[in-house]
Amino acid sequence: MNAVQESALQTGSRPAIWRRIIATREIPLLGLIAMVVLVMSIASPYFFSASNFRAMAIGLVPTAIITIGMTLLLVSGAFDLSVGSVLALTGTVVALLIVRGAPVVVAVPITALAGAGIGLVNGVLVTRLSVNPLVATLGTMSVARGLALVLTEGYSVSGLPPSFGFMGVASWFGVPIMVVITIAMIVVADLALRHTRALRQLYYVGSNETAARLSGISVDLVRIVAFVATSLLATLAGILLASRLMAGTPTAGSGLELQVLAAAVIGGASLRGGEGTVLGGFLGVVFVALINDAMTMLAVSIYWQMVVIGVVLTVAVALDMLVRRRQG
Amino acid sequence: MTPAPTAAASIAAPRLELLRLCKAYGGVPVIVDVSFDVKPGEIHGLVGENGAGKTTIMNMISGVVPVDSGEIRIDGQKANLASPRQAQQMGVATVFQELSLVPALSIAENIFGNRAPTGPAGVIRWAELYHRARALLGELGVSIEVRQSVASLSPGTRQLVEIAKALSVRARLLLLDEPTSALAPPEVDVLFGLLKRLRASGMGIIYISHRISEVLAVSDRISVLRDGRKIGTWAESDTSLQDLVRHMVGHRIGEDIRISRQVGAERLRAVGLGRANELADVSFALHSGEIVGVAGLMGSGRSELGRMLVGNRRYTAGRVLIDGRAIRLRGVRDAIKRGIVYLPADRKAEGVFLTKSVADNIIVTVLERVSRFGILSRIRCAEVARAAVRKWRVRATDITQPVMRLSGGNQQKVLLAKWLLTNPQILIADDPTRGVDVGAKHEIHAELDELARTGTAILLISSDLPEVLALSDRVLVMYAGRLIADLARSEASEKTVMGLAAGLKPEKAAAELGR
Repeated sequence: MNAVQESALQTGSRPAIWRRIIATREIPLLGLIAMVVLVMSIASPYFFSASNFRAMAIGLVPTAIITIGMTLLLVSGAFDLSVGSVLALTGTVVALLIVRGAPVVVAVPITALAGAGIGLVNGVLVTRLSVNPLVATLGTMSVARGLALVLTEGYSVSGLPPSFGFMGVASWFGVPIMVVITIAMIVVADLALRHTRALRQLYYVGSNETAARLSGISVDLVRIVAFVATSLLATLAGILLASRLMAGTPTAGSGLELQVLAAAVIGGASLRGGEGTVLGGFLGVVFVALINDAMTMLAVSIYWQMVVIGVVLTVAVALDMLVRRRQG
Repeated sequence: MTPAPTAAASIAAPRLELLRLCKAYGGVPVIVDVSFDVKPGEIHGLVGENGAGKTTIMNMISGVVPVDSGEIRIDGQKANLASPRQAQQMGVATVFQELSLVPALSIAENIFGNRAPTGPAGVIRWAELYHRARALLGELGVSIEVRQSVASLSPGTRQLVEIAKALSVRARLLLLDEPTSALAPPEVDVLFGLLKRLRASGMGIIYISHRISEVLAVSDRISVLRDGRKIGTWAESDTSLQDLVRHMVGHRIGEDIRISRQVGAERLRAVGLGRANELADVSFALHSGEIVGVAGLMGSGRSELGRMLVGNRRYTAGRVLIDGRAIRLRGVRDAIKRGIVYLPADRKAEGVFLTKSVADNIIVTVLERVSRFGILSRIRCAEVARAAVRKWRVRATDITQPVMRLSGGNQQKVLLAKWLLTNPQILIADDPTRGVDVGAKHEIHAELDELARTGTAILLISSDLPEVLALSDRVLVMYAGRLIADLARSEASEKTVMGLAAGLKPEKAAAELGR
């Protein structure tokens, strides 16, 4: 789970290893994912196919990228509800800039700056002004969504040049480049959260904020960086989505914040802070995507899908609390 | 409330009778065989040092914690006090140290809580609520507008409302824990007036306080607790402040482990440190190889002082000199770099990362040292943590064990280890042995002594007076945010320090308590 624990694993006794494996979230979640895949492969002839997996992989790219940031925030004891709106705003901003003639290499950095700015506002509100993360990011969520609608008057921005669409459609040996990038980012972020000094600080901050401050950790800075990173990742997701759809859509990503939170929590992050891994969050995303896909295959209506995802999230958190209480 | 029983009181059964009460937490006895009684129409003072067991006794009477053995009788009947609610039904009213009022609600609502009179559909009958609140406060001789919100009241008036709230269930026995800690002198007089009227009506009152002169002023009899045992009960007229302090402190054989330490150059100096409502004009010096004790009650500003010295809390007046140079620390990180560290008092809330492993807890202060190019080295982490665990004899099954599974003493050793890994020149230890067992306490004391002998300057803030006296070369005493005494070890006895910390004037303490 973390650097020190792993090193002890190598020298530790066998029963300890078993307990650790069961205690990690990733292993049981992988088992659950394998089970869903197995059941669905039997239930639907269309499920176990390259085209279905490819579609699913492309579909989960934005969620997976944003979940990286949300996991960092949850580990630090905060969360961000504005991610879905930031995705929509940055998607429309980058599309507008390009349609009005800005080259891609100029439009993307400007959009990234805007996204980072929202993260900075969130971070400063939560740390320096002690605004509750729920209230702070609910506010920016509304502001960002509103701005996206104002800028586009509610319409999608289309007419993007093919050069911008490259990222969204290009493949590499049949695997979409977007998916390759996403997986690379997850691997890097997971290792960084486990092994780098900078990111390990998130665990201390989330576990006991006062103790972290008294231990010499710059608590506010750490949290602000996590907020900016989350917003930047939402921006990247927004740009990639616009590139795939060849349009900036002001209504994109509504309700995405809940999907992302659900995935991260299912993946082992705790709303009380101090726990979670990027890999776990990713497996959570895969699990939620599989459930959605399975329901589509089984012709469950999109409205019922929301109900089911809500139930899955609530049950996952309740189970988590039960297990923790027993370990006490 | 029964009519004033003066002669009758002596024949009637006591309002409250404690018979051989015992209580232990996790195998550690905190109350041993305590018996005393409170008569109707009596104010009974209860005094003792921190940790003597006053609050535990109060919690048992008010049904907050169960009794291990022994019996509590109310008006001669064995009382089953399994919950605060049952205690209330038995007529026990409790005013806890932390005020429990809701500032945004009116006085009347606060007094009656969820017992407000309601009409059909559960709508509150406001007129009746206000009328009853006024009647109750009137009975207590307090006239304040019951419709105003509690937020607008002074601490003294809040305390009166708190008492009214406690008495709103027909009470026969009133328990007060440090009721004057937030009050100004005139407010204390008003409170005492109220307590005396309640006494005249036949109520039994237990009055717990650190302020011994106030206890003497208001009580009829006073019981002294020390280390969970009752030392004695005396009538107010048969005892004095100096007697009570002597009983509280006892004749412990102070184990003096100071072995001719060499006091070196000045390391830290505070000049006129202050901040509104917290600290005023605190000046002292700390030398290498020296342990300076800071004694004072909770809320005397001792912890705030520690945090200011380490840059975790701002001061608005004065300055801090480190090695003779005026330095304004920018925060704990800056302090660590300059070799000054602060061990916080509240281990669980401010010290350890409970869910994290022993290793994670230890390496937090030396993350730079155990990483290369920003990547943590698992091997270095484990090495550093194992060495620290061995050196400070932390009893843990493994360095991967979560700290919450360790005993208090071992958690404290983990904390100490994490700070000493930074090789501090100046260590500010705030209650380093709070809530740890005797064995761990010994080891921590020996470690502090050893550190001082190798040249570390130590400021030992502590609520444990024998600890301060056993370890310190000098003793500073704080009261109400001020440093009121800087005593050489030879001048500091438990009695003088305790008297000073309880708010006695220095000259008076010297004259009254002698040495």
